[in-house]
Amino acid sequence: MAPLQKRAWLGLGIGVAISAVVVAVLGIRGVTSFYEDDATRWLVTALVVGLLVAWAGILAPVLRPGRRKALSDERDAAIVRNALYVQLWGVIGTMVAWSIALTEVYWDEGRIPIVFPYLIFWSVMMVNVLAQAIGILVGYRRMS
Amino acid sequence: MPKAEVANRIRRLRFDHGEMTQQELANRAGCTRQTIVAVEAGKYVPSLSLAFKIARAFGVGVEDVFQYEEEAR
Repeated sequence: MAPLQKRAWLGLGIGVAISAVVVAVLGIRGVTSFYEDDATRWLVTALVVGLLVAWAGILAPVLRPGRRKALSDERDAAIVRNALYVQLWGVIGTMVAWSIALTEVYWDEGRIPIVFPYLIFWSVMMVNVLAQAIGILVGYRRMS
Repeated sequence: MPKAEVANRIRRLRFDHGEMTQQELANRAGCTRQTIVAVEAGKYVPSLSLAFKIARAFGVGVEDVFQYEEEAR
């Protein structure tokens, strides 16, 4: 297994775990607790930022130009480039899901609670990481 | 990902060069062993630069290693 492939599995595992915790926290405490309760807001923010930092830490050693020669080569770079398409579709899908869900739920009220733009942003960040990890793994499956 | 239309003789050339290992070829060509595995299996078509390095590792020309197959489409 290539170094980048191992790290993509690690990143996917961490991403799924953190995403599950975020969904569980918001599910148990309620979505509105994100702006009513400071503890929930900081917890969710810390989890998502932690995921982004962890993902950068996982990928950087492999993709950093200085170490690139030893741990990755042109095929790895091509796989990371192709993973962009999975990221793009993941982000578009997330935005479409949010748009349809919020429109349907809040149609009668004619307005959407201010908490949702934050949640949309954080969810897109999480999906971005998960989709890149999945895109990398799909790339290795196709090119191996 | 487009299906590889480029055939290669890497396996044969490794055999002809004293059963050169994929790791040894990777070291000579400056890529990872996994990339050599993928190229040899026709799952990945290397860049021109890597193709030249692989050919040079065997001491032959690029066309002695890689062949473009139009009918493969």
